[in-house]
Amino acid sequence: MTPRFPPPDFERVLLHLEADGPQAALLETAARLARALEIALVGLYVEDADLVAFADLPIARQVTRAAADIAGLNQGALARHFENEQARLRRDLTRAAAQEQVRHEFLLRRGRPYLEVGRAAMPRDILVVGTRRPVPLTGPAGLLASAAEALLLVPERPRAGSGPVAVAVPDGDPLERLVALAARIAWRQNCVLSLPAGNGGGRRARLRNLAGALPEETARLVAAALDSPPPAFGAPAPALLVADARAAEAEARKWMAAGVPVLVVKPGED
Amino acid sequence: MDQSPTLPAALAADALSVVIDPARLGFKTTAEIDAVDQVPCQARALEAIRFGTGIRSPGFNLFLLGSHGTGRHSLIEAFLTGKAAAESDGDDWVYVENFDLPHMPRALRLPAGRGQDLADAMVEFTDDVRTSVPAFIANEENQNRLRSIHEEFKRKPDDLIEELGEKAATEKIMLVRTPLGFGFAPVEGDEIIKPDAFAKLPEAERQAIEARIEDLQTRLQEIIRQIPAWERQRRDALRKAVAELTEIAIKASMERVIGRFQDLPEVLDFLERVRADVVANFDSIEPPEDTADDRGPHAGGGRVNSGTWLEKYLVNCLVTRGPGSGAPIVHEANPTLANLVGRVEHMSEFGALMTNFRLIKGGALHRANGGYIVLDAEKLLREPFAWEALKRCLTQRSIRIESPGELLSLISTISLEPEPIPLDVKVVLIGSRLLYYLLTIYDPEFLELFKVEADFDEDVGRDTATEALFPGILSALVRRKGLRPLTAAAVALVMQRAIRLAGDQQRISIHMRQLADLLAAADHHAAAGGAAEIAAEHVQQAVDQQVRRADRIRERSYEMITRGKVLIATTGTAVGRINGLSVLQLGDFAFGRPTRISARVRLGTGKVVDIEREVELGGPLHSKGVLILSGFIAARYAADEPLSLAASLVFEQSYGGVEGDSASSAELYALLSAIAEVPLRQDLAVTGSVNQYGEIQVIGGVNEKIEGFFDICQARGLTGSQGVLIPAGNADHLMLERRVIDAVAAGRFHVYPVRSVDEGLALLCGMPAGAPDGDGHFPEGTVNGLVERRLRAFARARRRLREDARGDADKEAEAP
Repeated sequence: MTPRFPPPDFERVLLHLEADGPQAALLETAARLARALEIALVGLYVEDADLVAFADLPIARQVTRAAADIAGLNQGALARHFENEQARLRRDLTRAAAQEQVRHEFLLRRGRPYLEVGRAAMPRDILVVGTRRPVPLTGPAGLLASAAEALLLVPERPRAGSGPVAVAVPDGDPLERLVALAARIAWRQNCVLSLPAGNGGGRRARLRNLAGALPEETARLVAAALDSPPPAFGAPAPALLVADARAAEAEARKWMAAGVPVLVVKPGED
Repeated sequence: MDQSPTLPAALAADALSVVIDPARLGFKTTAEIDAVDQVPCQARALEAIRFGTGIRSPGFNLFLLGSHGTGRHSLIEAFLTGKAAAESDGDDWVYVENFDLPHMPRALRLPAGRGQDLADAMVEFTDDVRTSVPAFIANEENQNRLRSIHEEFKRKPDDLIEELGEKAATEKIMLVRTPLGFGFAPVEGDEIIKPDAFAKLPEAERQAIEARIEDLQTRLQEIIRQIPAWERQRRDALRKAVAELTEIAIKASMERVIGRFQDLPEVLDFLERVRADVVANFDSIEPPEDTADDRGPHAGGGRVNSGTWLEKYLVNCLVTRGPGSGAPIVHEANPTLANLVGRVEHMSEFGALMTNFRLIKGGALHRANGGYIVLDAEKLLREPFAWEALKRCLTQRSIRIESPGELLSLISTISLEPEPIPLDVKVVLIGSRLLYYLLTIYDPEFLELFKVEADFDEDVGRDTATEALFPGILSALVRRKGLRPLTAAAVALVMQRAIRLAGDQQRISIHMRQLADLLAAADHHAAAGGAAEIAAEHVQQAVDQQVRRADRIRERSYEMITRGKVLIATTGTAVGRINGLSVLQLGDFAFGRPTRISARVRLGTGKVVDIEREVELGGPLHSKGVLILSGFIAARYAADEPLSLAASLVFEQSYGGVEGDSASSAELYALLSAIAEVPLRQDLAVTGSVNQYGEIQVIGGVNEKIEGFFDICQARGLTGSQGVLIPAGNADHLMLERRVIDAVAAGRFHVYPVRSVDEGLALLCGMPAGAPDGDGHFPEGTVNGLVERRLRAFARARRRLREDARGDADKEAEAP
C-alpha cells in the first residue's frame, strides 16, 4: 500500500569530506544514514582554491597551529598535501561504506569548500557536513539554499549511546513527512521514535492517521511514540533529531551543542 | 684376723621387680573410673605455664622443655583452650590503601567481626561507584554541563582566530587555512590577489601589506601560544565539574558506609580519604583527542571502564574473628618465615611482577595476635630467618612483613612495606631440654624473650597417690584415642611396664607417647582376638611383639655368643678374664650384651694401658674409669713404694666404641685377678662403676644387662650357680622380666647386690678378699694379700733391675 504521506525519496548521501577535521564520527553518521535509507554514500573532497592562490604568492607564510611558528608554503608542498589528504579520505570513505554495506563514490572538486558542496548537491540528496567550523546555512550561498532536499549537521563530538530518533517541528506546522522519515530511520537503526509535544492543529490525530497509512513496522513506532509519556528528566538525548528547515536553525544549533546530529529537511508538500 | 666383708646375699625373687596387684586397684575395667589428665603429674610444668600465661609483661614467653611424648602439646592445648575461652576476643586487622604513600599500606584495627563488615561495605560501595556514578555523570543534564564547559574552552581559540580573520578582512587581508595552520593573503575584490598583480603593486604598498600581514601573524601567534593554557583550563574546569558531580553521586553510598562505622574513628578517617580520592580521581583520564573514541569528555574509556581502579578502595581482611570466640590459639605446624609473619604475594602482569595491598597475606602471628601461638622450637630453628623474625617481632612488639629476598637484599624491585601491626601475643615454644639449654648458652636474646621454662617430667615418684592416679590417666588415654577399656590386670601390667620404662622401682613413667603406643598395640591384639576389653595378655602380647619387632640385632648378637663365635664363658673359672655387661640402645629398644674383659700384667712402671683408649675406641668416661681403678690399686696395694706394674685391659671382640664407666669394676676385678693370679668365676657377670675407694657405684640399664646375661646362660642351660653382680645401689632399679624372676625364684639364677670391690672379689674368686691390718698389709690366703705380694715382688724386681743397670753403667765408666 502506498502511504498517503510518503517520506522524502532520497538518492544520495553527499558527504563533505573535510580535510582537517575529525572524520570518523562524520563518516560513521553519514554511512549509517545511507544504510538506513538504502541509498549511496558519496564523499566530496574540495581542494581549497583560496589556499592554492595563497601558495602562489611570494609572501605566502603560515603560522603553525602546533607551535605558533612561521613556515613557508609553496605549490609543491600544497599539491603533496592535497594528494595525501585525498588518499586518506578516500580510504576512510571506503572503510565506512564497507562497514555499513552501502555503495559509495568519491568526488573531487576545487573551489571554495561550502560553495562547491552546495553546487555539487542534487535535488534528492542529503548533504552531510560537520560543524567543527561555522557552516553557512541560510542566505543565497547557504547550504539550505542548495538543491539538496535535506542537510545533516554532524557535531564535532556526537554523543554515544542509543537515544531515540526525535522530530522537532514548531507546534501547528505540518509534520507528517518528517515523522514518516524519522520513523523509517528509527526502524532501520533499531531506535525508538520521539515526537514533539503539543497538539496544535490536531497534530496528534493527524499522526494517528499517519500511523494507519505507514508500513506496519514504522506505524508501530509512531503509535508507540504517541502513547509514550513525555521524556522524563535525565532521559537519554536523541541519537538523531529530524527538524523542519523552517524552524530548524535555532533548534539545530541547540541540539548540536549537546552532541546530537540534526537532519534538517526542507519543507515539502504535506 | 681377716676382717673381709661377708659375701653379699643374692636378692630374693620378689625384690627383682614391683608387682602391682590388680585386686588392689578397686575396679574391673577402666570404663568404671573417671578419666584423669596427666596434669597432676606435671605440677611443676603446670605451675610454670600458669605463671607464664598469666603474666602480661613482655618477655614472659614460655619454653616447654622435655622429651618427646611427655604430653607437652596436649597439656598446653588443654590448658590454653580453657584459659583463652574466658579471655577477650582478639581484634580484627585489615590492610587498606595508603593514599599518601601507596607502597606503605595502612593497617586498621577493628573489633572482632567488624573487619569483614568493613570489607563487605567497601565492596558494596565500589559496586555503587562502578555503576551509579558513571550513570549519574552520563545523565543528560550533567553531560550537557560538561559538554558546555568543553565547548566553551574548545571554541575559544577558534572564535579568536575567526575574530582575527574578520579584522583582517577589514584590512583587505584574508585568513586562509593552510595544511599546517593559518596564513594571511591580500585580497582583490573577494579573491586572493594574483601573484602578477601583487608584483605590480607599488613597492610602498607591497611593504604596507606585508607589514599588516606580519602584524596579523604576530597576533595569531599570540592566540595560538595561549592554546595550551586554555587547554589546561579546560581540563581543570572539567575535572572540577566531574569532581562536584562525583561527590554528589557517591554521597549516599558513602553515608551508608560511614553510618555503619561511626564508632571507629580510624575507619572514619579512612573513609574520608576514600571519599576524597574517588572525587579527585574519578574518570581523571580523558580519552585522547582525534581518535575513534573521541566522543566527548566523559563518554567512556578512561578508568571507569578499566574495572580495576576501584579495587584500591577495597579492604584486605588479614585477620577476622567471630565475636565471642575468645582469645585466639594458633598452632603453626610449619613455622616458615612467611607462615609466621605473612608475605606479600605478586602477580605477573605483562611479564612484570606487580603487587598491591590486597596481595598481603597474614601469618600465624597475625592470627594469634591478642592470644597464644604454639610452635615447635626445633622446626622453628630449622626454618631460615624464622627464628630471627620471631625474635624481632617480640622485641619490637610488632609484626613487620619481610620477605627473605628483602632480608638478603636479593630483590631490588619496588615492593610493599606494609605498616607494622602491633603485636600482643604469648609465644609457647616446645622443644627438648638440650635445645633449651643450647639456646640459653648461645643466643643472648633467648632468655630475654623466653623467661618462663616449663620442665616436663618423663616420670614421677611412685607413691600411693600416683598409683591411684595412674589408672585414671590410662582411662583418659584410651578414651581420647578411642581404644577399648583396660581390665584391672591390664592396667597393672601397664603400670609395671611404666615402672620398667622409668628404670626405677620408686618411679613411674608418664611418657604418654610410649604408653599410648603400647595401649594402641594392645587394643589391636584385643580386636584381633575379638575381645571387648584390653586384657593383660593383650598388653603382654604388645610388649612381646614390640620386642620381637626390634630385636633382630639382639638375636644375632646372642647367636654369635651361643655358637661360640664371640667368646663368652658362662661356666668355669679363668685368671684375668671376666664377663662385663654393656647395653646397646637401638631406637626405643635396648638390650644387654655380655662382653669378655681381659687383663694382662707384667713388670713395669705403674702404667695401666687401656687398649680401647689407645686405639681410640674408648670414650672419655671409660678412660676415666680406668684411671680411677689405677689410682685405687696404687693407693691400696703400693702406697709406700712405686707401682711397678704394666697392665693392659681390653674389651675382647669389641669392634665398636666403648663408653661409660659401668665396666670399671669388672675391669678392676680382671686386673686384680691377673695380678694375684687368682681365677675368676666365669658363671658370673659384673656391672658397676668403682671409685678410688673401691666402692661400687650405680650404673644405668641394669635390667637389660641382667637379662642379657641371663638369656645367654639360659640358652646354654642354667647351671644354678650363674648370676650377675650389680651395684647394691641399683637394687631398687630392678624391674626384671618374668623369665628372670622365675629362674631366681627357682634358685637357678642369682642377682648379687655388691657394695664394694672386696665383696665382688670374694664372690668372684671364691676366697676371702682380705682386709688390711694396722700397717695396711693384707693377710695371706686372701685375694688382696696375693695382689699385694705380687705387686711387692714386681717392685723388688724393678729395684733389682735398676741396681743392675746402675752397676753395669759404673763398670762401663771404669773401663779403660
